Amino acid sequence: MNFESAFLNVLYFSAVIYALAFIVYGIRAIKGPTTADIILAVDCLSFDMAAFMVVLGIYFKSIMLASGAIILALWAFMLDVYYTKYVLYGEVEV
Amino acid sequence: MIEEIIFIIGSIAILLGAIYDLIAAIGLLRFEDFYMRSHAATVGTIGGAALPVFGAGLVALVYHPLGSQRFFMAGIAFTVGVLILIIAPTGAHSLVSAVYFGKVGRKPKLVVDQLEEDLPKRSDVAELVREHEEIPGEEEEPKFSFRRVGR
Repeated sequence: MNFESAFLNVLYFSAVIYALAFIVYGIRAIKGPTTADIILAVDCLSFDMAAFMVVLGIYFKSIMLASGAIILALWAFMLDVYYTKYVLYGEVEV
Repeated sequence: MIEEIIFIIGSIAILLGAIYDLIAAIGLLRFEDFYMRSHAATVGTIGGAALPVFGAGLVALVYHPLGSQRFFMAGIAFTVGVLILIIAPTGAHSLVSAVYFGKVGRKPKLVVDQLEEDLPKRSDVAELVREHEEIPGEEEEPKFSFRRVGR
């Protein structure tokens, strides 16, 4: 079994579905009625971007592309916690 | 033999994660209030992000065109997977609690809200604060703050 061509087929299917999902998340991130909806959509968007970056890093054979996923996941968590602290306590203490 | 099995399991995890992701995106677009949308979003983070990352880690373990870098790649993938498993439920919980207690947006029509029955009433809290009121002037202002509410 040739791994390279088999992985290319997997990437074709998953990249199309991921791109559709990114577009639909983007619609909700633009038109969200409250700020919390926007934060929720951006949160999902960045976690899925992190997952897709690892898959792309295997395809392009580069470690540098995959190691950015750790930063992206931590950034999404930071966004949640800072929004919570701002809404509930009115201040963001670092 | 064993390498083909690991590769096929990883590929199925990646494809299944992509389908989970599309389902969660449609749910996030079409549900009508915030709490139902947060349910769709948590499906999207665990099923759509943690599962394909673990699948990509399994694929990277046996993907020979990467050379000896494939173990680094698998390590990065498993690290990201564990991070997402810890971080995503915590973030979603804090966001929903901020929306509930901070009263962001309009509250949807609920059949029963048992958390509101358990919370202390506003008049009780005011009475409690009046009993334990401190002498003003003792406390000094913090040096850095954006906005103060409550107190």
